Amino acid sequence: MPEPGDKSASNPPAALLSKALRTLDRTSEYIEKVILGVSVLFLAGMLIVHVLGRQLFGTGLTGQVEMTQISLIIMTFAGLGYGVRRARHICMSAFYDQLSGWPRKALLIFISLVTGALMFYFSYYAWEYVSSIQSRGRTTSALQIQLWIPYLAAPIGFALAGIQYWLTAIRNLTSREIYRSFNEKEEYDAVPDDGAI
Amino acid sequence: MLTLTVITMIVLLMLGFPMMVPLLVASLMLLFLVIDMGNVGLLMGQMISGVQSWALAAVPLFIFAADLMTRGHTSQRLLDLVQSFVGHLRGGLPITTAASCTLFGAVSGSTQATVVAMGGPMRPKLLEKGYSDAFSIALIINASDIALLIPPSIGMIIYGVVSGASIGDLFIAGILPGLLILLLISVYCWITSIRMGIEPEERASWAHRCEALKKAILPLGFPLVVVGGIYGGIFSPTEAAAIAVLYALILEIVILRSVNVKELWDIALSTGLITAVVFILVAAGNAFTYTISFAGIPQAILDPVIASIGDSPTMVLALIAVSFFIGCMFVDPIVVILILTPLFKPAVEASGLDPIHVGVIVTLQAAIGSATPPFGCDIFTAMAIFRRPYFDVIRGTLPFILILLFATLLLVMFPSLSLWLPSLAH
Repeated sequence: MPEPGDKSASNPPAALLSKALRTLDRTSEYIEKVILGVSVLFLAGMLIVHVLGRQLFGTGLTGQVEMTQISLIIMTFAGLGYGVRRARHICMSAFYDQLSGWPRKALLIFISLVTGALMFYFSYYAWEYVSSIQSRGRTTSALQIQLWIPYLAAPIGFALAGIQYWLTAIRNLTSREIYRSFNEKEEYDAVPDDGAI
Repeated sequence: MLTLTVITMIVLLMLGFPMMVPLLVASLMLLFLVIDMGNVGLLMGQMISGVQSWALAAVPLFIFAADLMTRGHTSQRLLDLVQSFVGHLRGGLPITTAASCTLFGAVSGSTQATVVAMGGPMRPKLLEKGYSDAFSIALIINASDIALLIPPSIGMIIYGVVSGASIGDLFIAGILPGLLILLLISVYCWITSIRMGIEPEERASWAHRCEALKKAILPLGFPLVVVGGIYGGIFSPTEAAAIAVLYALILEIVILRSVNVKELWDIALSTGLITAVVFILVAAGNAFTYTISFAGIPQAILDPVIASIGDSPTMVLALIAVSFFIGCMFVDPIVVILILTPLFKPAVEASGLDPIHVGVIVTLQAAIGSATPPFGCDIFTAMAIFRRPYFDVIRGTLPFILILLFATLLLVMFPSLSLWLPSLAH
């Protein structure tokens, strides 16, 4: 269903593109959410079991340091795109906040396009890095896990972030309102007039 | 080329690019233009190794525990306890706010979680009592910054990982300075309430206090388990963070029943999001630190400065304090800690300063800078949470910044304020 203010509503090819983009967006969101939530619960659960095991039975989990490191890598890069989707990446918005109307929108589109391009650039080089690790056959010392497998999170994460930034740019180019991310509209009522001074 | 890199970083930062972008672009510029090496894979390796420190695992775990307690009953119970004991004093309500922020900092370790958990309920009460909004917001963001000093502290974990200092020692060293700042802020609240002619609240009965204490006993056990566990040699800080999650799960899901299992998924997701947003800065910061070190920039900048001030510990400490304070006024404290800590490490070692004492000063500057205009990140957190414009949020901050700078001066002059407790523990 087209959203209010969406210019694509009256244009069938644009509507088709919008639908395709939304499907792509929802699929990647589902994957990001599962990876992110599971890695947090896994990390917490594993370390709780490890500490309890060490305190109560005198033995912790083997390879827990490696599994912790792998969880952190996956969490960081899998969450990269999800952070863009929720418009949560830390930035200094003081100058941006002073703008309004089309200059504000133009700056947001510029930021999204450039950051997206940078993410794709790093995705490419992350892929090359992972390939080199794979060709050397490097593994973790205790669990003998192939290192390229968790490291894959880096190229995928950068690519998903790049997609999200470019989707944000497309959304802003095809809508009247300003969107901080593909799905999150910028709130103009951020300053309530409740007289609470 | 170096000047061009710095200008590019500042322009990207000012335009509002995500903070990872200036760090990554500057790393690329240094790699290609200064070091003259085109191997971007080097940066990837640094980014990945930057986030795979075992000690860093404490960060998502403490965030997870804090998120559980923010959504549960813990924050309200702590607030009720403090109010029942100090609410009747002159300036009782703002003092309650400051003390509750400190106490919640002790169970959460997160400044943002503290602003949300304590600022939400306390701001309307402060306004109702007649305090100005400028004072109320400034109080909440600055008192929440005490969370950076009170263990468990995410800023201290990052500093410990980068500097190699004991995170356990840093935790305990932050307690006295945190309490000192609480005392100074409370005195200011007392003076403000007299100046504004605001009458104190009614004194709570002992029955009410006992009831509040009874309800807060379990949340109060949290810092005891974390700090006691680390100092009893039972857990490492990362393991203590895992136990903190277990404690929060048992408290909020099993005993208080304030969070259900379904909500746990949302909390895990929110924790993962905050962690990812912070850790990508850790990753990009590590790549940036690598390239500037490789290019010999820290030595080029700091050597003449350090040569001019000598290796006097007080002067080195003052230089560190000023650099971190200014840095955090503009950039997220985690990025500043990641970049500046390795730069100052040789100077700290040469002057014989205790890295734990330096860690407390650094964390305090991170706390002050985060709430200081023009770009302290807590200002933007407060804008988002309280939905007030930029200038309303910063209007009341000056007295608090002066208080915190006075605390810094005391810490620089009297290192025992931070080193006394760790010395007792050892």
